[in-house]
Amino acid sequence: MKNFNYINAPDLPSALEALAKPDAYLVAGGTNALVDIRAGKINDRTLVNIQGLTEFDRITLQENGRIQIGALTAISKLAASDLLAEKAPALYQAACNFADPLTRNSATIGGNLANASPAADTAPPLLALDAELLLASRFGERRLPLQEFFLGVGKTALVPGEMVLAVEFMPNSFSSFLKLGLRQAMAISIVTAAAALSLDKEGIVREFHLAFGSVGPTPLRAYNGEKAVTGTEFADPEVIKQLQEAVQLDINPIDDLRAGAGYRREMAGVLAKRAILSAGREVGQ
Amino acid sequence: MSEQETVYKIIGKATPRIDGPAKVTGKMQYTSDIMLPGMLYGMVLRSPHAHAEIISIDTAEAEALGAVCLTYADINPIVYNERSVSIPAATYRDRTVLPAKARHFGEPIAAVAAASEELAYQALQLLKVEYKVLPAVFTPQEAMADGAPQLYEQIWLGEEKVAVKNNIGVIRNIEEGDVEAGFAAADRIFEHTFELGRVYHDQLETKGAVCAPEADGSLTVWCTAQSIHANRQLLGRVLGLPLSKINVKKLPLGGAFGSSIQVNTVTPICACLALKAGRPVKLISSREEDFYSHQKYPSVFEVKLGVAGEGRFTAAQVKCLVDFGAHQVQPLPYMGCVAGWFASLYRYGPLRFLGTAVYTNKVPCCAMQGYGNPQINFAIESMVDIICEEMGWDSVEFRLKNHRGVGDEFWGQGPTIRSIIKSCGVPESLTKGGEIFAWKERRPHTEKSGRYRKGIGVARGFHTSGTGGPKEGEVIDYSSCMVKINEDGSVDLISALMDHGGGTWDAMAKIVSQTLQVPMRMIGLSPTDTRNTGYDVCTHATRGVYCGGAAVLYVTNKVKEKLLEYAGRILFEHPAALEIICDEELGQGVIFAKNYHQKSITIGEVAKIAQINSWGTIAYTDSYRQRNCPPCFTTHFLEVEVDTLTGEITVPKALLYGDCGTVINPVLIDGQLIGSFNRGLGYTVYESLDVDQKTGELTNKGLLVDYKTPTAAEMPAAENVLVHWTDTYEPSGPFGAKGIGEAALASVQAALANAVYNAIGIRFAKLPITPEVVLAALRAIDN
Repeated sequence: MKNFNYINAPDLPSALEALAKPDAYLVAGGTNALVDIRAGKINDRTLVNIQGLTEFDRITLQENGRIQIGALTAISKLAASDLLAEKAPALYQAACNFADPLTRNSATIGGNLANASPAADTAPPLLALDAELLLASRFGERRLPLQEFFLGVGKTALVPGEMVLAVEFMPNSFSSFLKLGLRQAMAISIVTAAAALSLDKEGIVREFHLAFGSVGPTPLRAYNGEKAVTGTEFADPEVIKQLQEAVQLDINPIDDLRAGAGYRREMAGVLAKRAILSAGREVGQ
Repeated sequence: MSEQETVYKIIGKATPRIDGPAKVTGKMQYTSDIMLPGMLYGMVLRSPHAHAEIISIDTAEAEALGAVCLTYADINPIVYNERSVSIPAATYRDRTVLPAKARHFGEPIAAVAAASEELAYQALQLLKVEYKVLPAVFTPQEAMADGAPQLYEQIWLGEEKVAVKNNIGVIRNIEEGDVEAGFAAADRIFEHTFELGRVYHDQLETKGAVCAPEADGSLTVWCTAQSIHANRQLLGRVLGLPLSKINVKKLPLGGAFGSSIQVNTVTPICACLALKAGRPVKLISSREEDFYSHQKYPSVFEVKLGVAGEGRFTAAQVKCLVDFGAHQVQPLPYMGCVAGWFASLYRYGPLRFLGTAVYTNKVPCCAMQGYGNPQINFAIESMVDIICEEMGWDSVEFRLKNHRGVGDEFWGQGPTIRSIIKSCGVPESLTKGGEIFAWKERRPHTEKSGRYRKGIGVARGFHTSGTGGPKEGEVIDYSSCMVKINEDGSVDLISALMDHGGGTWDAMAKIVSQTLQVPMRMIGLSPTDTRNTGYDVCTHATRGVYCGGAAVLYVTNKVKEKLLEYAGRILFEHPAALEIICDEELGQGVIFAKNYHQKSITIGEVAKIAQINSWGTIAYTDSYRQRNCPPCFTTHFLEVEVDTLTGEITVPKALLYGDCGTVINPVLIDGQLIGSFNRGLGYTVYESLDVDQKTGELTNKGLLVDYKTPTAAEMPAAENVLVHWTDTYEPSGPFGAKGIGEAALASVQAALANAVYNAIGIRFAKLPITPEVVLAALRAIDN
């Protein structure tokens, strides 16, 4: 139908070499590529298939306590991971709510991040968990905090020829994810929120991370919201009201055909509250 | 086992689908599965403008690539309406195979055919079209304004030329009784406006065709169709070929919802491409193209109802405004039907319908699940609740008291097709449904608080079963079939009647099986086409079982007469002294002398003896018209839950009460009711189609990713979907059966809106009621 070349890259060196060409377009699960081809957003490209890079299809608990997830790990694998369910419920819940079972079987975490959709469901949990990316190109590897990765709609800090190899973070059992879409499955998010929390023995919020999807050009951290809560007593209704107001400074939603900006603003407040309470409920157990 | 229990009864049994194995194994051949040697692939170039003169189309480069190209210059410019269900004198005609002027974004402008899809795609890019862009109109108000850009100067009604003024396509006014006197007699008059936007059929199979020119100068056609004969007749006119030279094959259809009631736009294009190329051409619409093909009729209703203190109506009036898009497919019968659904809901006394349908530079609208019925039902059934709330009446009791029922007149297809209601499940469904749903314990919205608020709503509706009436009217309605007993006692059923996937053909096989007492597995459903079948108007208007089934029953009874006559000759018995009883083990119907069962012969033996003696084949063929249009009724009791923080509406529990007369297959009736509930939930809460007000492009660009329909996850839990059927028998129906399909959707919308009102006290008069709309309404109250 359209005009595409195709290269199968069986290993990392061949993938990086193929990727160095200016018209290269990386395909892992293909769940973004196919949609973009269908919508006419991409054409005249060389599709580089990296599904053979199986060494990046795994979830590992490292000796330093951090969890590393290879870029080619399918979302369904995240949704079936007892490790994530226990140690990173925010990411686990995002995986469970991601599109539908068929898409989850194919879509990868690396693709979900590198596509840089403001609505990427795995981005807010990973932002809230302060994740770091492992990137590679022909010229070597580097690490980049996820916060610095998203630059705009479909725009990332990847330089030409560079790809995501893995994402890494310190687990936090007291984390949560919430999604509001136009229906329960196969829906692009209207708003998503993820929270990660740590409390001291007195129930004071020592550290609080909050991130949103679909309320700005990129998935984003809500620093004003975080500040409103840090150092306060957990679940204080007054504080939560302040949190709901503060996040309005963090977000910058637009009107589109899925929802109006006003609705998104109000829902960001609703989800912020539910996210912090949901994350904190784990604390009591 | 008593004699009663040994009697073979297949009607009412849940039987496995005859086409099930082929469908689940992927062996069923749909239009897009047809592959022919030497076949070319067709593609359509669509207008990037909502309104534009086509100055020129340069096909040279595409042709240099080897493509066959089709433009306005190549086609026979016969002006037609692709929907032929109405009689010609009641049919406006305004379109040609390809247009000289683009009248909506996405309208087919030219087409190419090439040896592969890739080549066809490349050829399409090489077509050079010069447009003169014209100003466009996207709302009826804009379109009707003086000085507005005109889509047409002149169209045709039957054989008469008609001038179009202010883009008004059709005006249809209907009045019965002294309406002004009725309103004067009212204690209270209620007036509200309701608005329903456009939605998309979203049938599984997109529209398509494969056309093959044959060596004898004929054309064979495989296409998505609700009537193969309608396709043949239009192609005959457009191509200037005798009907005997056009053969349209009957294929399974992957869902329709009305989307192929007319000849699909791509079918004549494909036929013209094939004839020009002299080779078979396949032309299948993408999903995005299908969005630009046809949509559901939107409507705005201004409703005025007068009521008297004792709980009855005194008069009713509906003003209806329809934005039907760039072609008529066709709003004249649409508005007639809307008037009929409106009139047939209640005993209002005098009534008036004032309908105006307007051309706009948008996708043409066609029939979709109910042909205006869900639209007007939403308005009237919302009004009934508004009135009852204001007047302090119980809305179930009001409905019981005022609905049209047995002995009343029902308008089955506009004002010219009417019959008297002979069976009616309304009282049973409202009374028993009310008990099941604890209607009397329903609490008003004023007593509800908290984040999640639940409400209960009821609405009732119906659809016609077919479009037959005692008198012929604006609509054609009859079916034809042939039934043939083979020499081993098996039976062939030959008919053009279409099955859209709902199991209509299973019902036909059951009717034959029951009548001739031949086991289901011995009934063969013949592959057919327009050459070997009589005319069948169309499977539409919920007529499959009631009208198509009646034709099958009529013809089967004729065959039975012949069979018993031959059996009588063999057994030396009068045919009237014989009866047939199915022997399932034997796999045969057995003919017995009544009360003397020692004397018997199998159907197969009779047919074989008839052959050996050269008496002839035991077969019969004829056409048959139903002379009634009985309503199949539905009642919906629904519970909704509104999240007042997000505006989301969910449905924890649903009672779907259907009146289809005799149930032919319980599983398929449940499927219709549950499936349509899902569709209604989409129509009410999720779906809308909007256009960019500058370009006329769909805001979702025809992509399903931005057209959300409810999935299984949005449905109530399976155990909370209660399906009931009323105990009714339709005297004019085959074995007492009526339809159900479109009725199953009619009252979903109003029941949901009424339930939402009961939850949060807000009346929504415009669909869809999205979370954002709900939240904005809640905030408006807060402020």
